[in-house]
Amino acid sequence: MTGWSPEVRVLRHPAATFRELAASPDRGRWMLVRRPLLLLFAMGMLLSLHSSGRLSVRAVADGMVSFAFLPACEILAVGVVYWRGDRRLRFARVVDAFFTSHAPWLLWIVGFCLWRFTESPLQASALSATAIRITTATLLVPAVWSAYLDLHFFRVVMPRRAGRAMTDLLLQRAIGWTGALGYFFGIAAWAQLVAWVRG
Amino acid sequence: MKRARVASVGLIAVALVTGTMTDRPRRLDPLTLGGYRVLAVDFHTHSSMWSDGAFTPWGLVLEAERQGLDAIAVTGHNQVSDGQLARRFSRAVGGPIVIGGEEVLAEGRFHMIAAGVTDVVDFRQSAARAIDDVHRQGGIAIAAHPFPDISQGWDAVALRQLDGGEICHPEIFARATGQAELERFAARHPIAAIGSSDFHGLGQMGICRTYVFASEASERGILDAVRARRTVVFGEGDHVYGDPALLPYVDALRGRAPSRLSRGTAFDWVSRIAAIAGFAGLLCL
Repeated sequence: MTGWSPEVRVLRHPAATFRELAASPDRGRWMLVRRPLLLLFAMGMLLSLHSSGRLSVRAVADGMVSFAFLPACEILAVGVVYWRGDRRLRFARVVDAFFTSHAPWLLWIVGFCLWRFTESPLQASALSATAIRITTATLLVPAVWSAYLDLHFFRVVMPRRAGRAMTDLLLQRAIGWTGALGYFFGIAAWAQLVAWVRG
Repeated sequence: MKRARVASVGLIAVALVTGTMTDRPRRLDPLTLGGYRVLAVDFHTHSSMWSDGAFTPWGLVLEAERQGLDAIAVTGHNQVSDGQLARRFSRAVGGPIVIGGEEVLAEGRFHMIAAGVTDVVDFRQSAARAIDDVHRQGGIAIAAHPFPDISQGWDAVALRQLDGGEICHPEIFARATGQAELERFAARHPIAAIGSSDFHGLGQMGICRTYVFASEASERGILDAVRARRTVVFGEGDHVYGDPALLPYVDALRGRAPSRLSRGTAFDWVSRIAAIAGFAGLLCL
């Protein structure tokens, strides 16, 4: 396994990989941004391939700007958890390790790009209800898998006891995901809520 | 493994170079038919600013240029700020006409495009009152994807005031009865035929578009043309909808939009394959 990236290794041996990452040489502030940038590049690639059928600097850069709120919310949420407890590791290193457990999401993006890469603009624009349901259902896999990896992250890297790791995971998700979804769906979410309350 | 990583980065570079080479604005000669300037317009686009889109407001402007659109309406979900931002950007760079707007989401009742408005139209009111509000601001009201499941709010009063309705929306290509459902809505009252892509980032902006026969190439010209129902739209199977008086000009409009079925040039294929292979390599090695 030593030849594989930490993203692959963490999928099979999360605890060992996090221990390794926590002990790896410190690369300074670069560690704060390198994995968030990888996530943003993946989002930009997804946008570019599915809006124009090619990878262009313009669309990738635009997607990276558009989705910058995602790692921003995640870093903020990890920051809150970090400041609540043991801070023996530098924050940049903690962020770097945390984003390693985004591997299932990155694999999902690669899979989605592979699945749809022969499509015409019409097929890209008009996903059937079944395709949307399948796509949405498959998102559960990285959601659950990355939560499992993050439990290891909180236990090994932060480090926390089992119960506290679960609390931190829930707190991180509550802050990070609420912030990200709130920004993404924005004011329209309010209309949905009103409709739901009215029944 | 270092070599493999370098190769992966190299593949991504190849993907970016080939993809960027072909990523150019689609410039067409201005078209005048029957004394009108014909403008290709997408009335329904969303940005990443609080409207679950994937392009920034300025990114939408650049994308519109690449899809050969003369104008777009940026229609934030229950808000108008991203449309105003896109308009300022487009004016600064000499881009397409940007019509500020809003998609009024009254969940369970109606979805409505308010194009040409500057203040937020409240989603809590009835469709008729919302249209009043749009008209007071000098804008036009378009029924957005009025499929039966979100059309309960379109009562007779609202329909009489409505300026247009989407007859081409990407969903018609995904649901078997989609086109017929939009035709049934359009048959309830005379309204301008509108084609729009409800663009959120995935798919092609302008895949459904409206050819507007405007007296001038401006926002006012476009809004006036919709009020006068001088529009032509190509629906499913390139079926033509719109003002019967404009049908003689339809052939001149064919081929002006990018193909809905093209899978791109050889460069696009190289770009796609190299991008996925390169990223997978970078992720794994």
